[in-house]
Amino acid sequence: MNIERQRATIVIGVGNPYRRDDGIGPAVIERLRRRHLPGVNLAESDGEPTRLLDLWADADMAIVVDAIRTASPRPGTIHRRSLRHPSTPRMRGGGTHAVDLGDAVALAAALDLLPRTLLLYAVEAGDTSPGEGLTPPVQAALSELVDELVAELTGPPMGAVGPRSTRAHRL
Amino acid sequence: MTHLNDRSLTVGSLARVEGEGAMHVRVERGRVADVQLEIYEPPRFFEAFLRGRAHTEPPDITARICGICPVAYQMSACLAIEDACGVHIDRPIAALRRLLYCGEWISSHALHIYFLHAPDFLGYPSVVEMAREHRRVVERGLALKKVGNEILTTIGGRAIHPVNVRVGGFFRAPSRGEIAMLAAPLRRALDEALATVEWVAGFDFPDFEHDHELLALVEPGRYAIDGGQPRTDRGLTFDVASFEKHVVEEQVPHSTALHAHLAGRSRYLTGPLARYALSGRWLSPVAQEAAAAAGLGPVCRNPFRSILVRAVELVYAIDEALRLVKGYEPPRPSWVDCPPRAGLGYGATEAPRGTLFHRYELDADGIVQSARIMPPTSQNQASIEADLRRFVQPRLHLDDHRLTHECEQAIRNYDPCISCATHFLDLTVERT
Repeated sequence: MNIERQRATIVIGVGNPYRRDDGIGPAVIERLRRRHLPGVNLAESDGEPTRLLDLWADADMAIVVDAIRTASPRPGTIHRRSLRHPSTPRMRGGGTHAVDLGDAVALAAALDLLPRTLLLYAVEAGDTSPGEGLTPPVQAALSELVDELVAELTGPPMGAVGPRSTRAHRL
Repeated sequence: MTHLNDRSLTVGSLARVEGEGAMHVRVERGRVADVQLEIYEPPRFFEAFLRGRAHTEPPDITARICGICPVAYQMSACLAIEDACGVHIDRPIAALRRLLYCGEWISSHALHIYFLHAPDFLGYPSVVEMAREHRRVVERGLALKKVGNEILTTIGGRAIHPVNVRVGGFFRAPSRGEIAMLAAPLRRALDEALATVEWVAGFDFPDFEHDHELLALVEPGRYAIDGGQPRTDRGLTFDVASFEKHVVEEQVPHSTALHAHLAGRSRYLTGPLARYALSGRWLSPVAQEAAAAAGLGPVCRNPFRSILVRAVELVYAIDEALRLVKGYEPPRPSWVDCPPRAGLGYGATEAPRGTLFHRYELDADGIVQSARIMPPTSQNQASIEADLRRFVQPRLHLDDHRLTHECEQAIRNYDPCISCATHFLDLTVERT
């Protein structure tokens, strides 16, 4: 956990920067750090559910940024969805997760540890083999995703779920 | 998959194992012909990746191998590089390292006991279902894990991939006040850990005993965590520097991991059962009493009861952390200079899952020429396979679904950190 300020909003970048595109979460956190957003906590995580619970337990709003693998991948595609939605699908992250994110949400729900707003920004990964650096399509998605998050974090309160930009898809 | 006598079972996704891998069981004419664990192992990648790096970098880089036991990687790397540089660290730095390591043991053992292993014994598919019916128990697990994380955050700077560790010591020594803040949560955690031992002791354990040689680091006078000398329960003792002479690894076709055995001997097991057998007498009184009350004798050879040994170690790690908190003296300076020199260095510590060995070769400028990392799970792999062969045989009457589930549980006994990097184990059983 690397919490920089203790307030009610947290962005959690999940992933392992030594597994290429799985590093999108930590890369987003690094970019957001440079934006100095007031009242926004930033944290990196390996996605282990109890750590996620600890990180978002005190937050009103938590945003999880993660890499995902899909059946027919379109690397760099950004998805946005609410994780409080009961139909949260079981999704596999890109690299470092002992239990999938759906389990973390279900565990948090069973223990009443879900933040009021819990959003997932998921980026489709192309390559999660060992190594450093994002592949070009995921690297290209990085700036767009950071802008999208800054808008999300500095714009009017968002309760509704849906794409904020033409690029973000609902899962 | 209707013919139980001739079949092949694949565990496609073994959840609740740290890592990714696959297990394949082949059954011929009603006999288990073969059991293979297929393991993808990132340490191999990291060994290549470390070449050409400065001697100050391995603690940070290798911490990324595992999200659950980064401190173990950092500590073994520090010991090995300090050994190569001929540097000895001071006692206060060593004490602070041990306290940090206790934090990792608390966090890792609480995770494994409550969130990965207990659901097997209580008949739940995962901790999510268990939490719905045993909420207070799961909250106790979370509270225990949090105390471990608090130690990691206070000393390491953060709970995952601690950033405060450096070769020679720490970038910054926490103040007495910061460390003293850990005492109250640790005292509460000690009661919760004792309750954990009592809770786990009530589980039903299948009758199963292995006969592997047990290997752990030993530090006479105290329970080895952050160092010690490799020793086995059958009288073999050697120096960390000759680890690779005694532990021989060989390539097996079905796995990217190397299979380890003791030179001139056989396979062996490292981890909680080995530590308990070799160092149990040096547990603190409260941990020894908990072990005795739970019915643990001086040696435990049933891997299913490893959860009980882990619970006893959880008590010990908390008790030991309390002792270290009380006696804390901020190291000044917080690190020892470690000027590079050409040579080899060796380091081994007890990761929550077992002995973790590192070896580095440096040139005169401190550039890493070669690196060798032997994580506990790859050392245990041959023994796990041997146990699974014996485990599966009397269970062949089970259907594939049930057998898969029981194999998953058997594998979880070893708390395998299969890749230290990613998901699940795929299991197949082939019945021909």
